[in-house]
Amino acid sequence: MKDTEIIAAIRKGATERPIKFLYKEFPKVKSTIVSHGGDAEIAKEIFHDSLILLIEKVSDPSFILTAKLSTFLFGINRFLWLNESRRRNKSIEIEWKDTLILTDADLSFNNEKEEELKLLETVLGQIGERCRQLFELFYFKKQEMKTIAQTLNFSSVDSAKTQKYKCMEKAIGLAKEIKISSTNYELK
Amino acid sequence: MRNELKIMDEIESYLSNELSETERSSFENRMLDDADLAEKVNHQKALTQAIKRAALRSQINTVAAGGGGGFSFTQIFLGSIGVVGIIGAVIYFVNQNKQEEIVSTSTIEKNVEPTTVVQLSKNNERNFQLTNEIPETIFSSIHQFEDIQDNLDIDPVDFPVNSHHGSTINGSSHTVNQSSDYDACDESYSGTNKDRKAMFPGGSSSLKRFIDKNLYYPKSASDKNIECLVQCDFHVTEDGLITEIEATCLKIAEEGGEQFNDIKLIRNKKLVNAFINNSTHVLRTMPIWIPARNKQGNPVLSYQRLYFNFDLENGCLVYQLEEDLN
Repeated sequence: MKDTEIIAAIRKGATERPIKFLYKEFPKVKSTIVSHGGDAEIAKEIFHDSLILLIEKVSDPSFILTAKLSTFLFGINRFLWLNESRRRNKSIEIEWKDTLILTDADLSFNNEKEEELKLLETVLGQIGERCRQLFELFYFKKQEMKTIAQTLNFSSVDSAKTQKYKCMEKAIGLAKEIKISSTNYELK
Repeated sequence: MRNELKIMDEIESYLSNELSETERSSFENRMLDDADLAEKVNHQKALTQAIKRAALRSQINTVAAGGGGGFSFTQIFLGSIGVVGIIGAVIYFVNQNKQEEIVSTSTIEKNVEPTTVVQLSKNNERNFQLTNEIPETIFSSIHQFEDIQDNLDIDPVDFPVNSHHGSTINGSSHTVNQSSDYDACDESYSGTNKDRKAMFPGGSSSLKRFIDKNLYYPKSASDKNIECLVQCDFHVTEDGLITEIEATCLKIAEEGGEQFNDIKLIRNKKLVNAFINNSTHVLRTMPIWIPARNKQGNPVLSYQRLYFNFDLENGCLVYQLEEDLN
């Protein structure tokens, strides 16, 4: 797949083939992270995060590719690994040659925001299968509410909408609860 | 409830940029006045993003686990055409009583035919050698290498060839084909900086010689005028062993023709495999590499990518890209 094809596919929402294609870069990233003090587990985590960031970035219509997509992906990995090693209080300045040097601003990356999104992702795992399916079909696959109501056996479009609202309230409420309890824990 | 649903819909159309310019600005003004609404928008925005991420993550995990999300109907259809094609090919081969050319150990399991003769080397059964018959069309890679020699290897320095070399590693799946041509360089090499890249023993000229000697153009492909570009990724471990070889066929086409489509690709699976096997054969039979070193001078795992371009006019060309070296 060419870079332009990948970008077009991601913008259309067909992310599966681009992911498969980009995943071929993983061995390279893995060996670089492993030889810079990381392990295979963290390399995988970082690579997955970088794929998500790349897809989010590319989905933005105003995004313009200035380097090869694989170079960009590599740059994101470098950025994330630096971020991770800073968090571990290890100041390893890594030399990843021939790659883009990206900053927080380039990626509109914000640690607090990332934390919150991580939290919300865990919350999504706790709100029940039906809610999760509903959310995924509506927000990710971008299906019509009518089709979703049929696939998930809701009596009407309105009841599906109500259910979605309730799920959303539940998720946001749960996230708030976890946040409060974790800050309390830190204060103690 | 009605009212809340309405607000949710409004927020959704705001977030997905479906509002017109005037509606948008009026909504933003409302957000300024109504802190409650602004908070709801933020929550909903973050939640939407998290939902997309979770979905993407599960897709990525499927890919990581090696699954492709199951077979689609078209794939099954194309697959069955491929099967018919392969059966046809087998019958054809039996009738012709034709000898296969270079077949590596990994390809012979599935298409065992009485006519296919693969001779393993006598002195070392693990050390796979080419078939008894050298293909008619051997493309030398020699004159191509002279032009790109600098790109071929990682380290431009040619190390002095030493007369002794390291012992063969036992018990590993890696076959080591040691000969005096590919001796390890002097271990006591000390530069100003201790970190260096992984290197084929003897440097680039040695790698060139090794490839010249071991890489062949698959005869079945050259008979059909088919060209291919194979990308090989592999790791060089701390011990200098080559592991995790992963080969992908980036491009396969008839000479001067278009890239094969899916159906043609499945029908020519055997050729693709021949190209991939000939490429990986070279890697699998390589002697022990000199591992990369970090700044402290300790050997570390490193990653390499080689491209094998099988070109009918120019023969086999192996190269590395500058951007892959890091």
